[in-house]
Amino acid sequence: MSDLLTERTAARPNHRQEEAVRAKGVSVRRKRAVTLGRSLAGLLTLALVWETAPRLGLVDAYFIPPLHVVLQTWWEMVTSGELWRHVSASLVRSAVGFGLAIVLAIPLGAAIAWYRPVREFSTPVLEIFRNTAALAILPVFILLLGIGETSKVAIVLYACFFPILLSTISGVASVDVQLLRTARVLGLSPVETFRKVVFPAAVPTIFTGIRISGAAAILVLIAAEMIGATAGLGFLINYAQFNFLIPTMYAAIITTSAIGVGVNYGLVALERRFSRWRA
Amino acid sequence: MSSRIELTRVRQTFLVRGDEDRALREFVALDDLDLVVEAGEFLTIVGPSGCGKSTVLDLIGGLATPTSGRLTADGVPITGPGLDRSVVFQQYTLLPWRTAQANVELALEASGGLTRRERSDRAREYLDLVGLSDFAGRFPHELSGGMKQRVAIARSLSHQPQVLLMDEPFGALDAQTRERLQEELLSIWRRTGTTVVFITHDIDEAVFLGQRVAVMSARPGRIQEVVRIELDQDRAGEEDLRSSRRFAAYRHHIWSLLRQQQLGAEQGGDRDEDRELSHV
Ligand SMILES: Nc1ncnc2c1ncn2[C@@H]1O[C@H](COP(=O)(O)OP(=O)(O)O)[C@@H](O)[C@H]1O
Ligand SMILES: [Mg+2]
Repeated sequence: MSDLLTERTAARPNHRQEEAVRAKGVSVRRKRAVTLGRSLAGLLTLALVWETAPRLGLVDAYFIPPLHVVLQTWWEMVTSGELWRHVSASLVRSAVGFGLAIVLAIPLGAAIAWYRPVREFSTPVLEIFRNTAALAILPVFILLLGIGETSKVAIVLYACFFPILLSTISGVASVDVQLLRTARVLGLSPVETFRKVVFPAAVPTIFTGIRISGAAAILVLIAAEMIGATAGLGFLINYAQFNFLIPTMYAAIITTSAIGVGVNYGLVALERRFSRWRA
Repeated sequence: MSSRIELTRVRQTFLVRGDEDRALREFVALDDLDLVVEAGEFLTIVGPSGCGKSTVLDLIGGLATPTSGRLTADGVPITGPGLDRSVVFQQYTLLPWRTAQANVELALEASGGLTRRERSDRAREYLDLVGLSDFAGRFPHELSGGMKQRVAIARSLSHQPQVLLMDEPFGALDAQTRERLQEELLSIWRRTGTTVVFITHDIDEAVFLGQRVAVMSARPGRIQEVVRIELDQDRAGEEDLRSSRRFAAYRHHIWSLLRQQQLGAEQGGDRDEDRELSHV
């Protein structure tokens, strides 16, 4: 009977499986190239429309200048350092608010989820806060904290806090009971159980909240900067519009979109990295 | 490396809500259950689904406390989970974000007293015991169902428990994998000498594995009869033990016991059936 123990299944897939995988690999690669090609074509079309529509007089070139004018202005702002001044102001504010939200919401959410009575007590209150638009609260923050950096960081913190908090609560609360039973059988202490079983199991869910917050951080900040600020992309967009610096306004808008896309891609990649075992 | 387990007049009730009225009612899952598992013995418990097998195992594992009665391991009352008793569940319970190796190490991290290096060596040793050395670095989603259960068995054995409790561990596997794992389990049991309590609803599995088979009856859960099995396991490799006459006789005997129960239940339970039909 011991030969049954020594007899092992091959770790490598058999030939046919390998071939299948290889065939699939090729088609996947080609599919990816096609997808990328189409995406680029889409972007190019948008650029082309933006460039030609004002030139052909389809739209007023004063209000929507051709793309190359916008890009020229953008480049001037980059080289003069003006753009960076605004971008860095916005990035610092959103990063601080976002970071604070992560640091505060994850432990709090974990604690709330871990103690059932606390969870049941706080859920309705949290739902109310979550469904109160951050910008609706902005006047309150300005009243309390003035129009300086603090109120802007606070509004980002507020916007980021609830998605992370609620996803942490749901991630921790929905850990497979069978895994918890296993932890008990293996003699894991409550702290070890949390650290080695509950938290890792909740990470993918928590990350969904973090990704949502990343988008919210920028969105809310831009709006807040339009109301009261002397630097930042939101301020720049608003200021340019008031002073009829139309190309500058579009340059700032493009920059905002690019940052949004970048942040989202970065967070999605991180989320994938942390959820690989879910496959 | 093995303990004697004793259950004396164990009763377990649950509060359940009635189907018609929403009132809480007491449901007797186990009633006056007596059972002794000798040190080093391989005991299987067989019974129809819902008769209280898992409840018995949860009690021995210390995951639940009985309503009344006494449970002891080597004379010491069981009050909670302990590293002297290990459980393999039917559902796969590996941590999906850990490799097979790291899953086995989890059991050793909790028991403490080992360095990182020793844990890793021990985990390898036990993965080797279940024939999975080549798969140490794989994640659960890269393993078949049978492999996952083998990792779970390695994890349960790695901290060298006195008693191994198994709740239908092969229930979700295909017939061939199951038979192979049964043979491997017997071989591991012979080498480690651990007491094994193995739960199943499959009569063949109970007869093949057990030195004794405890047949359970339902409503309320009790041990109806304990059947001693004497099969020449040493020759199992050469001939098909499962088609021998002795095996067939044991199977028939246990089948009849379970059948009697079922007939008894049907006669007493006509009302239940009527109600079920009226729902359709
Ligand atoms: N926590 C519980 N609450 C209420 N009823 C339970 C609970 N656990 C088990 N039961 C009931 O006790 C009976 C025995 O369950 P179980 O031990 O899981 O049976 P088996 O493992 O033999 O299929 C079943 O009728 C089940 O519904
Ligand atoms: Mg069960």
